[in-house]
Amino acid sequence: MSKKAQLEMIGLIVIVVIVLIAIMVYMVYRINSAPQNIKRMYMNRATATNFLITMSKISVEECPSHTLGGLIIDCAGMKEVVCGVRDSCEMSRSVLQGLLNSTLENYGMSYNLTVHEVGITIANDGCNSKKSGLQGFQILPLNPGQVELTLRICD
Amino acid sequence: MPIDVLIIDYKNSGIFMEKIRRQRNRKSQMQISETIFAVIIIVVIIVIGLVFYSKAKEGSLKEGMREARMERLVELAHALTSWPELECSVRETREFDCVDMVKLDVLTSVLGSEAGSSKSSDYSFNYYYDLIGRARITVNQVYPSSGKRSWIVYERKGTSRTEETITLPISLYDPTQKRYALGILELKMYE
Repeated sequence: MSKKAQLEMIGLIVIVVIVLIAIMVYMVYRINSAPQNIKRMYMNRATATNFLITMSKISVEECPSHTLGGLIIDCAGMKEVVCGVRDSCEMSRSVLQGLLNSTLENYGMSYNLTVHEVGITIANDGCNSKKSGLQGFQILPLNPGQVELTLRICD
Repeated sequence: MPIDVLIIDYKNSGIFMEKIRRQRNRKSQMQISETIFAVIIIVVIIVIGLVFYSKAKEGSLKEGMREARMERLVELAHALTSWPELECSVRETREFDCVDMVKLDVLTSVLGSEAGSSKSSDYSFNYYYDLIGRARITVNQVYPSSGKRSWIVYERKGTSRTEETITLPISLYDPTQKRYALGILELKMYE
C-alpha cells in the first residue's frame, strides 16, 4: 500500500470518528434534556388559576366588610365603595399589587395580571401574550355584564 | 560464460532467495500492522460508543426517576387540598383549592408531635407516612398581613439531599369569622 493511500485511510478514519463522536454527543444531550417540565407546567397553571380564585374571595384588610372581588366589581360598576381615603379602584389595584409582590414576585415568577373591564394591568419582566406561558381566568359577575381577570405566568 | 547462464546461477544462489524472503517478510509485517491498527481503531470506536451509551442511559434513568418524583409531587399537591381533613366545605359543598384553618390546626396538632410520643400520634403519623412518605408540608398565610399564621402540617426528613419543592397559592378559610385569607402551600418532597 502506498504512503498516500495510507494517509487517506487515516484521514477517513479520523473523519468517521469525529462524526461518530458528534452523533453520540448530540444523542446524550437530546436524551438528558427533558422536553417538558411537568412540575413547572403544573405549578404555573395551578398558580394562575388558584391565585385568581383565591384573591377574589379574600377579605380586604382596610375594608373588612368587602372582598377583593367585591371591590373589583364595584370599581367596574357603581364605584360606591370607599376604603378610608381610597376608592374601590385604587384599593383593589393596591391590594392586587401587594398580593403579587408577596407571592409570585417573591417566588421569582414572571407574570401579567389584567382586569379587563377596569383597565388594571400589573406585569413584571415584560411578560406579555407573545411570551410562552400559561394563563388562568376568573370571571366576576357584574349586573349587567361581567369582569374578566386573566393572569398569565410566563416561562 | 553466456549472460543467461549467469542469471540462472544468480537466481539459484542463496543471496537471491534471501532477498525475496526479506521482501515478503516486510510486506506481511506491514499487513499485520495495518490489521492491528484497524482493530485498535474499531475497538476505540466501540469503547467510546459504550461509554456514551452508558452515560446516555444513566442520564435517561436519572431523568425518569426525577420525572416520577415530579409526578408524585404534583399528584400529592393536587390531592392535598381535597383531603377531607383539610378541605373547606359549606353544607357538604367543597370549595376549590381551599383549606379550612380549623381543620389545619387540628391536623397540625395531631401530626406535629413526633412519632413515638404517644400511641395515637404514632398511629396517625404512620398512616400519613404511608400516604405522603418523606416530605414537609407547610402552609403560610400571606394576606391579610395582620395576625399572619403559619403551620408545619407534616415533616419527615429524607436521608438524601435530593428534594423537589412545589408552592401553590390557596384560600385559607376561617369558619369562625367566615373570612378568607391568601395562603401559600409548600410541599417539599425528599428522595
